[in-house]
Formats: sequence, structure tokens, C-alpha cells
Amino acid sequence: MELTSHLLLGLQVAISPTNLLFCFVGALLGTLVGVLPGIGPAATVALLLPITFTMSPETSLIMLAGIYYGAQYGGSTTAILINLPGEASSAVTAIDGYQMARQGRAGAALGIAAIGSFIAGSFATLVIAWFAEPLTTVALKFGPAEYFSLILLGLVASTALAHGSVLKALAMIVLGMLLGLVGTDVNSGQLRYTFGVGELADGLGIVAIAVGVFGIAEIFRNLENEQEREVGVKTVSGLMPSAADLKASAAPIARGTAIGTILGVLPGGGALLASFASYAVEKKLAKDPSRFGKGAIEGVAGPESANNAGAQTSFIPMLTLGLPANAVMALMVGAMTIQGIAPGPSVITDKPELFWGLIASMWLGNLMLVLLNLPLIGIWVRLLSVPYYILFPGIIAFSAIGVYSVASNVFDLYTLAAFGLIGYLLVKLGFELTPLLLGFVLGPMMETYLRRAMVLSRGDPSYLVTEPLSAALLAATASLLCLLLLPSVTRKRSEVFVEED
Amino acid sequence: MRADFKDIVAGLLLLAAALFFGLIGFSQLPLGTSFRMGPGYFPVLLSGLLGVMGLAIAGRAIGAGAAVSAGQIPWRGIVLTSGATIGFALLVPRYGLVPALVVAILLSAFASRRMTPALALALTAGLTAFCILLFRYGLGVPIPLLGAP
Amino acid sequence: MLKTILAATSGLALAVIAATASAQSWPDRQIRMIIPFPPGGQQEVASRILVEKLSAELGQPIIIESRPGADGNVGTEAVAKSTPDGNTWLGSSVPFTTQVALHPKSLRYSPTKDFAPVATFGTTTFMFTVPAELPVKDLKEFIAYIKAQKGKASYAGSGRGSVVHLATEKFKQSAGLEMEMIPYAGQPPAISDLLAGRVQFMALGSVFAAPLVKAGKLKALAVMDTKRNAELPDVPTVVEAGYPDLALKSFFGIHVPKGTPEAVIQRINAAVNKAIVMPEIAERFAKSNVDAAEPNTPQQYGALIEQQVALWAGIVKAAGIETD
Repeated sequence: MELTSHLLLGLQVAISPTNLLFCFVGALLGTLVGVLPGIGPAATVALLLPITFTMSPETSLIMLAGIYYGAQYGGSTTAILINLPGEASSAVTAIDGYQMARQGRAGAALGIAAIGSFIAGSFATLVIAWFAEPLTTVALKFGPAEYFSLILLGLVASTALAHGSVLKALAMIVLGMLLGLVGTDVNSGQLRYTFGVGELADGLGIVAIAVGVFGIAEIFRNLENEQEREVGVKTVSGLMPSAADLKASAAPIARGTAIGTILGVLPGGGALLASFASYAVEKKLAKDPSRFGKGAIEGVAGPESANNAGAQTSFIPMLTLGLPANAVMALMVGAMTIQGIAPGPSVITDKPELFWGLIASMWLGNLMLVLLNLPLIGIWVRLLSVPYYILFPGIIAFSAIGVYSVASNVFDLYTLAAFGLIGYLLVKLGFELTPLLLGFVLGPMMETYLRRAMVLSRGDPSYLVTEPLSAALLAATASLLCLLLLPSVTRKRSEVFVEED
Repeated sequence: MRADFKDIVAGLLLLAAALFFGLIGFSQLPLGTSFRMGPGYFPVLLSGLLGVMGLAIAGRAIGAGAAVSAGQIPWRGIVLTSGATIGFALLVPRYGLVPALVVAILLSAFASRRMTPALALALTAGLTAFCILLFRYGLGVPIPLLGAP
Repeated sequence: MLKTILAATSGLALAVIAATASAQSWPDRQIRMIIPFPPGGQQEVASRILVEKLSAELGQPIIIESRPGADGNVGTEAVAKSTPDGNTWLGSSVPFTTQVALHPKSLRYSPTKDFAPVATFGTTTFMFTVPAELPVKDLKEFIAYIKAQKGKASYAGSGRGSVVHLATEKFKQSAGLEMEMIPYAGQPPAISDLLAGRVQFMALGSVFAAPLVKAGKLKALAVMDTKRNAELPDVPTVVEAGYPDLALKSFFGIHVPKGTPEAVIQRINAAVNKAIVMPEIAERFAKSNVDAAEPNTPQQYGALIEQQVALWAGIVKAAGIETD
């Protein structure tokens, strides 16, 4: 069979000692930068790009890919342990993962994240091998109108993340979108809301905002009642997920994998939307949705699987068409060109050893990651037994270096400090911050797609509903919004969900 | 009268943000047409939406149950922790990573009332060394240890 | 006010002292080359290949730093403000020469007054591409097709002031076409809408176009060059197609802030000229669709920049697309 011979070829390439070593180096490095707040895979890949010149094209791409998916693993670790998502997509994991850690179940949360990621990563790798070509066609069906409608659906669905008022969650999304618009307008080149601050021309830094509103604001919250109680973890119960945990997580992992595999193919935000979508689905399907936000293991298992599956399938447009889905992919395209390989449809036929070697290495890399991460759980959990007042100066130092290293921009550090305060204020007023971050990331994309769609249709808004796929997505958004805002539902929700902490 | 003051403040805060983004957008950025949307179109639209939401949240709170008190505000922690980040920002471009880290870690260490001076010094020394090993030598982050780049 | 002036003059004096002091011993530390666009692009790829040789020649590491934003203006401005000691370089390309025409009032640097040219090291070409399903075989049919659309057609532009954007505006002027620009941040995001036929035209970089055309996913109508592309020898040039004005190539070069000691500029220039004649460089450039430039002097590169500024200013003016 053709596929078998291809995969065998790929495995031969991937298990050569050099490639195996650099796959491990990449995965390890990725885990490390994923764990550290601020410094992300894009910055790491950029730093390491020059080193890869001396390697063979296969080795170099295998290592860079390892950094990318390794960072997805690592990003969830700090999200769970100290409520500090390394990337926007692990912000979802932080919701229930951090609560689990506070209840002493950090081991279970980390374990299920690793297991879910491994299953999802393996499945998505198979999907790439099998369906890369047809899935590319699906991705091309998404034009500006479809993306606009998909993002709208994603944003509305994300209010399911909130365990308080839907209206407040929606307001946070809109506020996040407005903050995302700060900077240079792509279409006109005009500066918006920058008040003459040159550093704002590129917009507010996503890393600075994420670390500020989650990490720093959480420190303030923990300092609130210092005298009365020791913050952090009570007792640590078990390092591994129990049989009951695994049983509860099986279905969410499967669903998350499916969602992530499909959405990951869409460039620009696909993989991010996947983790949010998975969380929303799990909460909708749960028998007792009130557990969500208070340490429900499904809220970790689903999104983590979706996130990792999406990270894998986001390679598809790059491998089949040379279209990078995000900054890391763009750098990998650069790495290929430096090696003299023109990224595009010809890679699969002209360089089968590169294409299949990379795919096989992804599976091996995922295996290495799970083997690497499961033993590490013990160390991570022990980290939590460090008293909080010793731990948090370290969080501050790591955050500051990480944020500064992104672009050597001092302004990002002021943003970090400011958003720590803003985040704390918003939490005190009963707002939740995950929707804010989601709006911040997706808002500018939504504007770009809307404007592009409007130019294409020469200003006719009906374009959004005459495109069938877009119309279907909008219809789904409308019915979801009705369901969410119907008074009876709202009243019931607030009875169930209002909780103060 | 019973009212949820927390939500009233929350709603008014959103309204203020909406006015801020909306008025600046409306007065300084071209709106364009729905065909060629200007840079002001989308922000003004969003500001309007946010304003309505703010009013709704504040309005709904009038007559609702009283809010729980805000709890203690850890002023000392907030000031010292924010000061640590700002101190790092002021020092790192001119004097390099080491002085910036020392100041940031010392300041944030005293954000907690449980910290003792001896422990703070030990923590500062240890963490600074660890950060340098990890970021500078481990990851090769291009920030000089001492002095400007 | 007096304080500001004092601070500014003393700062300037210090800079001059620093600059003269360092001219003798230069290069004594790591050099940064700032590319003002997102990482992974063709310019970065070519620059990385080049600086490998330059670094060996000059005896100091050269790091490439990607500083994107505002169509290249963020990174360019940062270099303009940096100390003119030869340790900060700008990777210059076409947008460096077009922004001044697009933003005559708000641009905070001048490509000619705030920068000194060093050398150009490579050029790259673009191709007129259309979706595979578009019922046209050559440029003539395409022009007729677009005219029949009566303003309903759109083209993809990547960044205001890029070759992709301005060359199409020039093409529209020359052929009398009506096409609406759909803006994209960079070429790769635009390609998927081009492949799907949502936009009908794009002046696409050959590095992206060649593999997609060979795979039959796009059609190439013309190469924007005076000679045909080695990878796609069947595609005619714009000269053959009757539009000699559209042979608009993009170039890659190095600029340093004005005030950099002449001796330093000459040393970098010599190193670049030594590198670009190496067969290894030509070969590695060719793989990413970049042609190595002929050896050139800073004056020659400066003349090219002035000629480009004037050329693009004319195109911007005729198209009426200034933003302030």
C-alpha cells in the first residue's frame, strides 16, 4: 500500500540517530520555552534559525517542528500550576486546570493534559498523512466571509467559558477586541489609539497582556488574604490521573481531537478557536455544567487535546501549499527556502523523504513528549509546595525577562504592569478575563476579514449570507445567541453559577 | 434601595471605556463607507456595542441584591509588584539584566509580609543566578548581562 | 527648551566622538541587521545567506533581527534613530523607497537624508499570476476579461507600498484596468484567496509563484523582468507582452544611519562585493529565486535608491493613493 510505504520511508528518515536526537532536542526546548511565560515558540525558532543552516533540511525542520508542538505541551504546565498561560490557547486550560491544582489535583490535570495531547497529536499526524490533500481544499473554501462568520461563532460560543453573567462575558470580548485594534491599521496604514507612542504602532503585546491579566493579577489576588491563609495547594493527592479521571476524560479527548483536527487546518486562529470550541462543547454536554470553572477534568482534557491536534494539522496548508498558518510556520517556510527547497505543492513529490520524515518525526516527537512530561509531573507538583511568597518573585522575574525578550521592547514591560492592575480591577468587578484575551486575539482578524469581505462584495453586507458556508455559520451563531440571552435561561444560569471567591 | 454596586461600577467603567474608544475613533479616524471601511468604522461600531452593554449591566444591577464587599486590597503587594516590573523596565535597557533582575526580585520579594530580609537576599541571589543561567546561557536570549546592548 | 537643546547637542557630540573612536577599531562587537518585515520572508532568507560570508570577512557575528510593523516603517525608523557606528544595519528593499511617497507628511524618516547607502546584493522578480480556473491564456486575454468585468474584479495587494501593490497600480494605469485592491499583510495570506479565485490577479513573488504554477494551481501570464525566469521558461516577460515599463524588480541591499564613518561603509561594501561574486552565494540565492547583484559602490546603490524613490512617487501620484 502506498501510504504504508510512504510512512516506512518517513520512519526511516525520522529514526536516523541525528534526526532522533534533534527531534528530542526540539521537543525538550519547546517544552522549556512553553513552560516559561513570555518567551514563546516563535521567538525560540527565530533565535535558532541560524543554527539550522548547517543541518540537513530534514533535521532542521524536524527540530523546528519539535519546538512548535513541544511548546504546546509546555504551555499548559504553567497554566495549570500558577494560572499563567504561556499562549492564548492555554488560557482555556488555565480555567479548570488551575482550579484542579488548587484542590491538590495538579498531577491529575498535568497527566491528563499530556495523555490527551499525545492521543490528539498521534491522531492528527495520521490525518496529515492520509488527508492532507483533501483538507487543503476545505481550507481554500474559507474566504473572508466564512472566516468572519466562523470567528463570530467562536466568540459567541466562548461565553460558555464564563461561569458568571453572559452579558459581562460578551462585554469583555468586545473590550478585548477594542484593545486588539490599537496600533497600525493594515488597510490604511493609519495609527489608531497610539497617542503618539511609537511602540504602540505594532499594537499591545499579546504576551504582555496575557501574562499581565492572568499571572500578575493572580499574584495580587493571592496576596489579598495573606495573613489568614496559606494560598496555593492544599494536599497533593496522587501524581497520576485515577481510573475515574481517565474514564471521564476519554470522550472529551476524542471530541477535542476531532474539533482540533478540523479547525487546525484553517490558517490564522484555527488552532486557537479549537481549544475554546472544545471547552464550550464539553460544558454544553456535561451533565452538571456547574462543575466547570471549579476544576472539571473534562475542561482540561478536551481543550488540551483540541489544542494539540490543531497544532499538528496547522502544518497542512504549509506542507501542501507553502502557506504558513502562523508566525512559527512562516519561519519554517523561511528555513526551507534557506535550505533551497521551495515550499509548495511540489515538496510532497520532489522531496518525499522530507515530507514523510517530518510527519513520522511528529509522531515520534509526541511520544517523546509524553515520556518526557509524565516523569516531570512529580517535579512540577513539588514546585507547588514551595511557599507562595517565595515562588512569586520568580514568576515576576520570569515574566519580565520573557516579555522583554519578545522584542527587546521596554514598552511591553509597562504594558505588563498596567494589565496586571487592569486585570485585577476587572476580576474585582466580577469580570472574567479569558473572553478578554480571546477578543484581543480574534478581534483584529475579524475586522480584517470583514473589511476584506466588504471590498470583495463592494459594500454589500448580504454577501455574508449569500455564501452558503458563511450563512450556515451565521445561522448557528444566531441560534446560539438566542439560547444564551433568553431571559429564562439567563435567570437559571445566574442561580446556578453565581459564586464569589 | 437595594442595588449591586459592584455591577453598577462595572457597567459605568465599560461605558467610560466605550466613550473613550468611541469618541476618539469618531473624531480622529475616518469612518469610510461600508464598501471601503475606514480605520474608524469597526472601533466605533464596537464602542457603541460596548456602551450599550455597559448601560445594561449597570441598569440590571439597580434593584438587584447587594454585592459582597470587595475584600481586602493588598496595596503593599500591588505597589511593590508593579514597581518591580517598572524597575526592571527602567534598568534593563541601560544597565543590563543583572541589576534589573536584582531590583525586580528584591522589590517583589517584599510584596509579601511573610518575607524576611535575609530570605529576600538569598532569594534574590539564587533567582538571579538561575535566570542568567537559564535565559542567557541556556536559551541564548540576546539581553546583555551588564550595560546597554 | 534650553535643556532639550543642550541634551540633544551633547548627545550628538557624544555620538560623533563614539563614531570616530570606533572607526579605527570597527568592527569590535556584534553587528545587528534589522529587517523591517515579519520573519521568514525572502529578504531575510537572502540576507542570512549573505551575512554568513560577511561575518567571516569582518570577523564579528552579525545577527538578523526581524522588526516588522507599519509596512516596514517601524524597523526602518528604529535604524534611523540608532547610533551611526556601523553596528546597526538596515536591510533595505523596495518599500524603503515607496513609503515617502505614500506618507509624505507622517513618515518619520527620509530614505535619502537619514540613511547612507552601503551596497545592494540581490534582486528578485515578480510574476503576474491568476487563478488556474480563470478563462484566460495570456496577458491580452486577461486585460480583455477584466475590462468585461466592468469594475467587479479585485486584485491582491500585500502591504501598502510593496512591489505587489504598486506594480499592480502601475499595470492598471498602463492597461487602463479597473480592479479593486484587497489588502493582505504579506504575500502568503493573499495566496489562498488567489488560489480559490476570490481575487482575480496578483503580482506574486516568483519564489511563491513558481511551485504553484508548476503544480497547475495558478497561471502565470508574465514575468516582471527583462529576461525570462529560469524555472518557468515558457512564461513571457512583460517586455514581450508589450509593457516594458512593468519590468519592476525588487532589490535587497544594506543601509546604515547617516553619520556612519565613511571608512566603515567602505569596509562593509567591500565585504558585500566580495561575497556576491562567490559561485556558492549565487547558487544558494538562486534556490530562493534571488539573483546576486553585480558588484557596486555605495554611490551606485544611492543612485538606484534615488531613481526608485522618483519612480514610485510617480506611480503613487498617478494612482492617487497617498494616505496623508
